[in-house]
Amino acid sequence: MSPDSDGKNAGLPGLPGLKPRKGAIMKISVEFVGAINSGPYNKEHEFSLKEALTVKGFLETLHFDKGHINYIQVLRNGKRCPHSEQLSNGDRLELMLMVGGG
Amino acid sequence: MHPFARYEKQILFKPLGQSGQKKLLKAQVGIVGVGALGTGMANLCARAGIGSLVLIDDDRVELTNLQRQTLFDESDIGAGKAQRAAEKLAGINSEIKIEAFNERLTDANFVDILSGCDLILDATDNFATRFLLNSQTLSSGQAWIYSGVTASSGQCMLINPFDTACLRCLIPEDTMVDDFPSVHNSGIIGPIVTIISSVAVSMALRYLVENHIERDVICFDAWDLRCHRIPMERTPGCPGCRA
Repeated sequence: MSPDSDGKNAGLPGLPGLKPRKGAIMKISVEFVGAINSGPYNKEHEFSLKEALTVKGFLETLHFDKGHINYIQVLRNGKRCPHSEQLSNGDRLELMLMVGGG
Repeated sequence: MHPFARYEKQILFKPLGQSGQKKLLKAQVGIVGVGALGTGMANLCARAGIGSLVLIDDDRVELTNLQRQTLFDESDIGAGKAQRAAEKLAGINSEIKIEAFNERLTDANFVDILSGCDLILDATDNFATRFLLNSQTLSSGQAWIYSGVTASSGQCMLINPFDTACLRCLIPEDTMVDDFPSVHNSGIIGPIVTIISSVAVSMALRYLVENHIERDVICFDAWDLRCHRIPMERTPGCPGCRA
């Protein structure tokens, strides 16, 4: 496992104390596109996951309000995917929040 | 003067040409919301010679709108947006028909106001009205273009019922919460409004001239100056279009 892209071991959100490299079973890279709040992460960030997760499961480990998650479109390796899809090692996700202002 | 004189430069653009201009002049476009996106869209549509515009908005012009709502000026503060925008547009192009409705779009008035439109442009500031548009157009079969802006980011997507993804394909459950990013808590810069209203009208012109269906969501960030195209397909089991 490689360290997170920003050089810090941010670890897996919601699982305090997890050492991101030890025991992680997959890594995925994530780009936060447009208005979506990247929270404590860089706009492009690499995450180490300790367990197999669906897209929804992964989003729920991040900093998002639960009410926002339904409005997040996810591209998995360049193709939009439902939140029910299972993540795989090496996936690249792009997260885009549908915005409502006009 | 030649009847197409004012559109001379647009007609020189070969994909549009004189035949395309004729189609635009015959077209009716509805614009739901006459705020930031709506004024930008209406301005471009009127100048392009879309023959009939229907504007709907129940809001009034406020001082804080002037930063980004480009048809209005200080003398318009307090005026109904739809009516005042129609008056401004008539001064830009007196050869087109413009109808203004100073009311809120509802299920009850949708057919009366928008049933004649060849295309509807969403320029609302809330998802409740967008879901109404989605539901009504799934019944009427009318195409519409979703647009949204917040902070420095915005998106556009053409929705052609039962052909492209619908809004419910993307957002199956409406779980809107109070702190959802909006101009009220995240602010907005003027350039993204101009960019997204322009992208929406580009999609509209091409749809009306060539019946071209743009199938990607176009996302733009006016601060980072980054653009994304996100391919969208109908979602199996969608509660809206039942793909």
